[in-house]
Amino acid sequence: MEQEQFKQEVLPLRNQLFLYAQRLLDNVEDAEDVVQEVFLKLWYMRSDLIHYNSIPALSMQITKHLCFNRLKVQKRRQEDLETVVLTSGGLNPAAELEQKDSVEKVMLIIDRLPSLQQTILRMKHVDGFEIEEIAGLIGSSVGAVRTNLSRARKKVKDEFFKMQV
Amino acid sequence: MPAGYKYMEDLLERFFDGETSNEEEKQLYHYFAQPDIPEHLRHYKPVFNYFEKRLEGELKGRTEPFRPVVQTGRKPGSYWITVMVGVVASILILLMVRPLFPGDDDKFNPYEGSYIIRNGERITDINIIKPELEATLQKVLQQEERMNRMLMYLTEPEDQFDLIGQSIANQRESIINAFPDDIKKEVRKIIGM
Repeated sequence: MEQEQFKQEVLPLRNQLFLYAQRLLDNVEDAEDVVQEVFLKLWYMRSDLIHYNSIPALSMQITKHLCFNRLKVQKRRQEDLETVVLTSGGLNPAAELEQKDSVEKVMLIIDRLPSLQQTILRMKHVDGFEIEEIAGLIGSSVGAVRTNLSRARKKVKDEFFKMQV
Repeated sequence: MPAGYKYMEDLLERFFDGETSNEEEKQLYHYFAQPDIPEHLRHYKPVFNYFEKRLEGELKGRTEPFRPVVQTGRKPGSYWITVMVGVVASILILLMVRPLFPGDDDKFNPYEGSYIIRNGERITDINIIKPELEATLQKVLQQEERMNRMLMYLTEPEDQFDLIGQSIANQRESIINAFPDDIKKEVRKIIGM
């Protein structure tokens, strides 16, 4: 599926997906992020889309999965926060440092980013799209895409700076 | 290409705000690839090395964010086809395996427990009663067939009478309609319509 065909056949689903995501997440910004990610995923699957019986059904499924993932992450974060408040002590500083070092050696920088940010970095830095092109492709505003690209880049920068300390 | 660090600082800020073009990003990569950059910008060196070179390698080494999260390539109705195939396969396996385990079911006798009373004597010998039972069963079947035929006979004329009656009524109506209105009324009064 080429870019124009993608825009004609897939992008019109945007409103429907956005409303669905908003209903599941009860948050406009999160819904916008999810919809961006859905379209980015569909873009990278574009050569396989022909094998699916219904692109709208597939899009709804992806939206649902991403919303549920997001809700799960939010819940986990909330639980982690509660745990941090409740527990005291834990590992001693030396052990913590050792653990941190070993984790950092194993994990790739990219793994520390949410999948939406990973995908936007890929489009910008690997596939060489300009922001305006990405926005046009996924039916988002330039500002919304820019926000996620900015978050992704800042996150990478912070990870490097943390390692340098 | 402007290479002053003030310009680069500006580009740097715009880069992290997601506002730079691909061309401007190339300038940043080129700048941070140089050996002599100001001290306060030096810690950005590995960051831009990452964006320029390592990021692509990391992304190529993994497929997770671009893997379809749902596999819905199943054709409509294939679920029921799978269920039907499963059921048929189970029956076939059962039929193939059953002869290997002959059980009591193989000795099943539909006349088990049957008896007839003749001259006040109860007869349970299957060899005697089996022909009697089969003859009775035949009679029942014949009787049932006869009843079916009678039912057919009784229902068919009913339909035919209805058709004939309808046809007569239609003809009568067309004859009445052929008269002038006042005569039509009289005719209807006479025949009680």
